[in-house]
Amino acid sequence: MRWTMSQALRRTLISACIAIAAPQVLAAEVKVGVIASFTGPYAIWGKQFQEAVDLYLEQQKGKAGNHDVKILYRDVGGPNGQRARQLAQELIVRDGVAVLAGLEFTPTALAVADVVTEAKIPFVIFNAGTSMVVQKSPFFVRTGFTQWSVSIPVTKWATQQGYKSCAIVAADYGPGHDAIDAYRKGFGEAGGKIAAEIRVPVGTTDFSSYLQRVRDASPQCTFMFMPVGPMSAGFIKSYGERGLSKIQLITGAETQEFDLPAIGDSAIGVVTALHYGPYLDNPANKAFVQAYKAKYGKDALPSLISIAAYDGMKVVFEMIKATDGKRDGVKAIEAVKGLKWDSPRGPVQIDPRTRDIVQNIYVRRVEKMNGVLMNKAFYTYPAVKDPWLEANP
Amino acid sequence: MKGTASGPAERSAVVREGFERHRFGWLDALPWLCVVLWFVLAPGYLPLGTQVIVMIIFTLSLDLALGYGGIETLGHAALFGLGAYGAGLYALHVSSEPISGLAAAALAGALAALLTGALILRTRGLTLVMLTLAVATLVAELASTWKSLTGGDDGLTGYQIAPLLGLFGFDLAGRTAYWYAAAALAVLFLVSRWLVNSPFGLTVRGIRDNPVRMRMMGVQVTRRLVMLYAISGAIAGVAGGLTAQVTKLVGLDVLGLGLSANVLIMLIIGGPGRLYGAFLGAAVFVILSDRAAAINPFHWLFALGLVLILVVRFAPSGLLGAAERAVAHALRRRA
Amino acid sequence: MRYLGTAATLLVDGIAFSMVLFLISIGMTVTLGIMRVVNLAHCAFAMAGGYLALALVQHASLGLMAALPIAVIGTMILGAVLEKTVYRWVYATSELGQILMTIGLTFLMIAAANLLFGSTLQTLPVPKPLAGTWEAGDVILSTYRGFLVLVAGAIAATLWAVMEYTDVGARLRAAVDNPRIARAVGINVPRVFAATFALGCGLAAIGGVLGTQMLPLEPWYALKYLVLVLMVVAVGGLGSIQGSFYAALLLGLIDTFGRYLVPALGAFLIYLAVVALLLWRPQGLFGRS
Repeated sequence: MRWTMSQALRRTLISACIAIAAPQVLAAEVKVGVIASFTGPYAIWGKQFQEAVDLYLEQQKGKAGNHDVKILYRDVGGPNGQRARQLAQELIVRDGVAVLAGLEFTPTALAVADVVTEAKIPFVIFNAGTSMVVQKSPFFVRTGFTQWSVSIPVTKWATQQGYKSCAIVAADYGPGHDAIDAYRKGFGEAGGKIAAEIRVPVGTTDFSSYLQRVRDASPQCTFMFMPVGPMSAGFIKSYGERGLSKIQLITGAETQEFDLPAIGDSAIGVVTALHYGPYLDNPANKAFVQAYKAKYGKDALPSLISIAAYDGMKVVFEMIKATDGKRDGVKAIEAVKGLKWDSPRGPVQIDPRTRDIVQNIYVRRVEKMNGVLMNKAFYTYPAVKDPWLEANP
Repeated sequence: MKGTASGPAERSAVVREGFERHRFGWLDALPWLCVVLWFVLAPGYLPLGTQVIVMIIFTLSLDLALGYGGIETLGHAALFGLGAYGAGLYALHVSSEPISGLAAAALAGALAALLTGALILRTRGLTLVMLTLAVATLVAELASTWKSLTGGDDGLTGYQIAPLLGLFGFDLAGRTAYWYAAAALAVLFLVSRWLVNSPFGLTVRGIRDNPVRMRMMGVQVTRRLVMLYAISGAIAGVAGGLTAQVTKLVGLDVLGLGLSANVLIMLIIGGPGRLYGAFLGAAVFVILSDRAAAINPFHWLFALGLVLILVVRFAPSGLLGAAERAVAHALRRRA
Repeated sequence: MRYLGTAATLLVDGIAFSMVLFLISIGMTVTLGIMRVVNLAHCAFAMAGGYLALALVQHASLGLMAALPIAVIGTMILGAVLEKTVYRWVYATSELGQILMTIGLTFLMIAAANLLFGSTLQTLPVPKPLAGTWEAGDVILSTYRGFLVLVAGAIAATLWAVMEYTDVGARLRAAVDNPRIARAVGINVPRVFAATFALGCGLAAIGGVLGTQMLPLEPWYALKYLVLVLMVVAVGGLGSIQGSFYAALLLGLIDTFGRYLVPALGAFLIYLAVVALLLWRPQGLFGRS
């Protein structure tokens, strides 16, 4: 404690000296652009990104090294690639940001790829679940998760449980196709039979016809992928209401704690594999959840959205420190390759080859504890690298 | 009452007006001055400026069809979107050369307009509106279902655009894209201006004002309208193609009902049937919506809804129409 | 037997979806076909009904069935007020003007919905006795959708009886067939139209409230499902309530069975069917040329 105090004191003194000696050094604040959906059906992404970013900033007292960090938030309003591209262009050219961050969907991430490559500005992608995204620009780093990295472990788990046949239901777009491929590969290679593969158009709100197909295929389990939000919640809800709970539902990110109240008891028993949940039992997560609640109220809970942004800011800050606040994308990217730290999600690393995050994957089950629905982890696959990126270098 | 000139005095007035429409006044320099001023004064906003120019071209195409030909449509985005996909697919599979890519986009828009126009332009009014909407919805759903060609919800990406004329690469700040779009606008504006004042243009205006009489005079009404629609489709296709080339991305929203409604709104706010209405309407709409989106898009929607109702009620010929009336009123007072 | 069970399930699901479409489209076909007014804001009234019920469920903790009549009456009042004010302007302009004005009105209602209820998708809770499924051998039906089919069927039958056998129905049919002569025999045509407009809004509200399981509430509801409803109206034939009924049934079943049988075509099938139907009968199934 004494040691920390003196450390902090010394740091303050040093910065005070610098402030007096060379005010222009301090005055040079570093700008970071965060592009996310703050409006529209996906507004929860922007809101939770911002909450996590603000929390991280507050914990670091707004400073990376001795640089003040200023965040510029921009609203892309959903999976609108054109707008994402325009915003990235404006943030780089007009606002002069050193690092870009944010985004939630694959199409928007792909849309900014050649902009950041040309400008040599690092982009820390918070969340875009298609594996190949990080290959589209050498300036991409990803701190979320990929469909392959959670789907392969969960098929392993299902095989261990003795499931022999499955149905696969997925939203019909990039990440959904990744999920289908991963489920097929993982479950099929272990000798499982795929009784039905059902692609559901993006934006579907009524799942009755698709659920009837699942019922008619009568598999032992159902692997599912839907974009987090209305589609995932709607699907799980009708799955239970249609009396399909006897067929074990297995999925990834779709049972977020913020969606569980709306899904209701239909969710109980659903098995998922994911890299983070607010009820994970480790010291870093306890501190994180506590700080989150202290800032945003006792009912607030961080989610996979928050953790992506929180760890994403860690990467952004390391970049700023490494480049001393200068706009040097190449150096910034090099500095975070291989970066390791203890995140609330467990030990993580930025893979030096793929620039994707390496992390634990937890198998969880939805349970009701004291009247609250939550995901309870019961099995861990440690340090999972994205299997697709390993197979397609 | 232009068409009913009977006395010699009135007839000469019509002739004089016809000539005046061809002549360029100092006001004609104003839009181009704005284009140059924007480049000089707002170099950080060139992507936005490019977007304004693209939307002016798109609105111009609607002005030809609706403002001059009276073709009421709620599906103009189909032509824009097909142009965008045309240019994107051309760059992906044929060549990354931009100008031939625009030609491909124009062709895609024109062909789509020709085919659908021949089917639906026999009808008018409400039925026509419904049919244009149905066609546009079908095209949008087709693009969303035919994923192997269009990329579906993921969008069409992964193509490159070669430097313009082999000299000017498309830079990050968007300078090349800006001048490229501006040049396209200049060419298409001159073509449109020539077209509406040509005998063909006068004929379609006649059809707009009174189709029955034109038919009695022996004009092949449907064929003229289909031709006009195809030209409008080509211009809309160029606008779509420009978007595809500049943003290197085509998403499903280029075919959406939202875009069809927006372009209609731009034209009505600016003022239909006068070419420059497209300039004013698109510029006001795009700039305000961009600024408003930075604050809160739903407030923008609220303001837009209100403006729309009030413009239709109190200024049915748009801002430009209202301005013309105000000027005429002032002149009459002075006289 | 298993196929029979599947067919029965899909049939109930499809008809339930059709009935929601039908309820929403009645008001549209009446204004479009009879009053010749393009009311693109019509779906916004279904949305308004749904959101009113949502507010009652959330803040007055009413059940869905208690909230329904209040929401419907509230929407009818909203419709009547707008008909007396903004729609006077709408009636007076050209077709293009009507399209733009009602789009403007839709924008206003979307913005208001977002301001009051946020932009996330929301559904109304199904009452406990109607939740879950009803099973008999291989036939497994969603209880709520079965209920929806019964309710909507009852409303359609009532509507038909009112139109055929009552004085009000006769006046409306007269005003429709020939407004000039109807006026000459002393029918107050504007008042008949105003009442019809409000009734159309009320029926749309029923569809909006009961249909949130299939068409969940969100601010863009008013535009998102507009094309679907317009297609029902066009296929049925402008102005024909009976036509709308059969068109809704046809499209709803094509959509539900299509998604089951050829999921790869997804939502495309229904649009293909509409264009084919319109090419075959441009005036719609029951339209008058």
